[in-house]
Amino acid sequence: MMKKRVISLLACGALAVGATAGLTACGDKGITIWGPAEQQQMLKEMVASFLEENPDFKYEINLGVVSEADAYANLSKDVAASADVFAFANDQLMNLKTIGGLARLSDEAAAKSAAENDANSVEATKVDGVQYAYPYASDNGFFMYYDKSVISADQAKTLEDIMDACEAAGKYFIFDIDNSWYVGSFLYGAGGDYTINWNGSLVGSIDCDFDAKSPDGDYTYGEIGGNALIKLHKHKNFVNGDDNTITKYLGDEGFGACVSGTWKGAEISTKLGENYAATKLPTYHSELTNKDYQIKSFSGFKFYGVNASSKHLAEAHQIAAYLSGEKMQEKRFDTFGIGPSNKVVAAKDKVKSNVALAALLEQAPHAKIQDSLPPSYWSNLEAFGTDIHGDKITDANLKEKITALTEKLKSNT
Amino acid sequence: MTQPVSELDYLKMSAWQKFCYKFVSFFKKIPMGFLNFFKVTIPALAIKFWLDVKQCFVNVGKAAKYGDWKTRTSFVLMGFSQLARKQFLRGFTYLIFELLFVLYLGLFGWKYLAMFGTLGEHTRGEFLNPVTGIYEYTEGDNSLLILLYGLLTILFIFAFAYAWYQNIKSAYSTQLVEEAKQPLATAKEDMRSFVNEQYHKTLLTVPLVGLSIFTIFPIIFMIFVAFTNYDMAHMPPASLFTWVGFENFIAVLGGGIATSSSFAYTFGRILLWTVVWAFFATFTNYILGMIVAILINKKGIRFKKLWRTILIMTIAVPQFVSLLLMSQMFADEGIINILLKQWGIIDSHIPFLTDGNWAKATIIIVNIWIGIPYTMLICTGILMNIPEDLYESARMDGAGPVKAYMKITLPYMLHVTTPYLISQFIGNLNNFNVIYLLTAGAPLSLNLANGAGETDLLITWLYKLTMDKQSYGIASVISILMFIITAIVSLIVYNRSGSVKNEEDFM
Repeated sequence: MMKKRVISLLACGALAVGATAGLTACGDKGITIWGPAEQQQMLKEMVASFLEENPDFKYEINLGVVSEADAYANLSKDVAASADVFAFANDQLMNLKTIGGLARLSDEAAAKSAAENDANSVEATKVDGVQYAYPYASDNGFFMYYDKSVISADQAKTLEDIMDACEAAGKYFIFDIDNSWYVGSFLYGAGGDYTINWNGSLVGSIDCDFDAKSPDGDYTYGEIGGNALIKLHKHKNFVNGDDNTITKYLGDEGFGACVSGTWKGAEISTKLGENYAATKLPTYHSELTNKDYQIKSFSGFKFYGVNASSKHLAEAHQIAAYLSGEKMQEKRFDTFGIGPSNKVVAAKDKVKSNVALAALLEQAPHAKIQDSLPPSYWSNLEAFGTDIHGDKITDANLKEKITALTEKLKSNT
Repeated sequence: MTQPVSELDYLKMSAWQKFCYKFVSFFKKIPMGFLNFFKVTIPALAIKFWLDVKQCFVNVGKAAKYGDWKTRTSFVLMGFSQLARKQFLRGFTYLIFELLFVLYLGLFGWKYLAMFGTLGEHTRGEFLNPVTGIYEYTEGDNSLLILLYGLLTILFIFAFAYAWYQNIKSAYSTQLVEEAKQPLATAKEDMRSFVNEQYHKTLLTVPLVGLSIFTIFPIIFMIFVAFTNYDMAHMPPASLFTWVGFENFIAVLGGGIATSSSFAYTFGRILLWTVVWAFFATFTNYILGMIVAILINKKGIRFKKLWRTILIMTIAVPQFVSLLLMSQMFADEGIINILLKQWGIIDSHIPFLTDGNWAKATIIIVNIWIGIPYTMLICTGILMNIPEDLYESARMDGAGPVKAYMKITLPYMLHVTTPYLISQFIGNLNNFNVIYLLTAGAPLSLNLANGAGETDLLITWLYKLTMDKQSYGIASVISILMFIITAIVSLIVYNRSGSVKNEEDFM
């Protein structure tokens, strides 16, 4: 009897030890940098060259895998426990600022960054006129890739000619209609707009005029764009798909044209070889107003941010400034073709001759600078695209759906 | 059929009437059950609690009135009575406990408790360090930590109050023992009692502590979060959150049910689908799994082990792997649509996962594929357990296979597996994996608000609200409501099930 009790006591003891084992304290972890998985090797080299130039840097530098798109999602879990320096896409700026994830740049660093990088990218780092991040890339937008053997440069100018050429050749036009990032392009193209009036880093109010009458006739901006989307979606040579679908159609030789960003350039160019081409997004012809509209894209940036909760703020700023500097931007272009925001690097011949970046530049006049967008923007435009894809939105109910969409965007729900 | 009928009348009814009668009386009993709960159970508990508390005060009063100076000093200096009577182990334990508590409260707990009412007043400040030229940050109050440690301190105060009461009780009883000239328990005897008459306390301490830290305390914390405006705009360490009373509950439950952009409408829609999903997911698996098990169990079926092994292969593949594969297969450009197109069965793709209604059906069907093997395994064991002589006598009396199934197999199975069914139903109400991995709640629709999709369950919506939108306050309200719903469903069904009421049947 006694023995049994001793054994069960031991079992309880083991439980207690197991429970406390997880609660070990942790000391100073040095400085952590977050970057996307595929760029870890490059980041390692960058850190090595940083340490080479700053031999008396006294902290250990660690790398973590968090992509630019997920920075906010990870920081919001626990700001204090997150990386000291992290890369993020500019649409997360306001949210990151709201949760206290961004430290303000020193006046000196802000002046230097503003002098070296293109004005749009610097403007996008500001909250209430104060700079909170270091820009390092201005290529976060989309445009069109196409196969020269299917579509001629002239045909690539209008959506109608592209679809005709695809139909004639039995190839496909791939566009991600149920992705909120892309689907708004038709509505903006028709002349609609969506603007957030910021109250500091919080959404104050939202202006959206998708349900307002276009000057071109008795139709709203949303109806003109939505009608074109419905028409495109019905076309038998249209495919709704993301980057994976593009890869699949490249492999199946069904690729005619697609809408994507610079990150897809290397893959498409190797696959198409001589027939690889990229240009601005085409225009679409509206049956409602009998006019042509230029499809608008988003233009976005990528930044390095410094965590305001960092224990080594000065050193973190030093690293962020280095990683977004001219030398590192050039290295990033050489390795991944990432479009620089640095004016000196952008002016180099090798950057100018890059097909994808040239297309992005061509699209730039027809691009809407992508602000920080609240979750309601993403979910409602995705819902809009999904409803078009699921034939839930037809020409018959388009008007009321546009009204519903606009109301939800305005009320931020 | 609303009046209770006599047994004779009941026996006269046709089978259909009997079924209706039982069905109606089941639902008629539910409001009575609630009424009883509020009229009888709760008052009884309240009275018992009141009596217990009263008894505590009576005991303390007695100790104050009849206690000697040693006992009375124990009121302030815990363990003094025991120490003065040379019960050093007990005495020092109480004393050390009091010291630790005072230290904790004074050095740590007090400052959090003081801010508990407002959850902090000072936000983080930004200032320019003139030496380095770098903007630095002062540490403001952290509402999250105040809530956490404030709650912890309150719990410690309760624990201290209990220990203090025990200390008084023990001090007084020691005095009584001494006055009766009886020998007092020595330290050795005290220790020994922990492996003898108090052995249950020894064994339960560690699990109880673990349960409190990892389960009970987080739940209490979560309940308190439901009454705050903890969300993206009020997130520590950058800003503070504070108490908002029942505002979150009103946002989820009240107002604007008719408009599609309101929380209440979306909550209702998702709740409905959650219940529909749980019903179908549970019963399709149960019935089909049982049929498969019966088929395999049937005499004359060959290669029984082979069939069972094939079905169990689906369990061997991790569930999330098969679910992710399925979501690829059923995609618009997935293998199933491509094959159907190649065979000329369809012209354009079927929106298996991109149309609301199709997606709901697809999810239920994929879930059948995943769930049947488990039910089959469980049913196989129970089916083998049904005494063969029951079937033999049924056959002799001229019962066919259908009759035997309805009169023997099904009642027996239901009797044994009702608790399993309930746990399955509850599990399916909260079945995160299947939904999240197959569709992640998609397709989104303009008919729903706040990022909810057509196939979102409450639990996956909850995930989106916390992980994408950081609406922790609202999410806490939803999880409280989910708990209430699941608790009510399981209590009602479980207490009315044959497994509980007629425990001895089929024994």
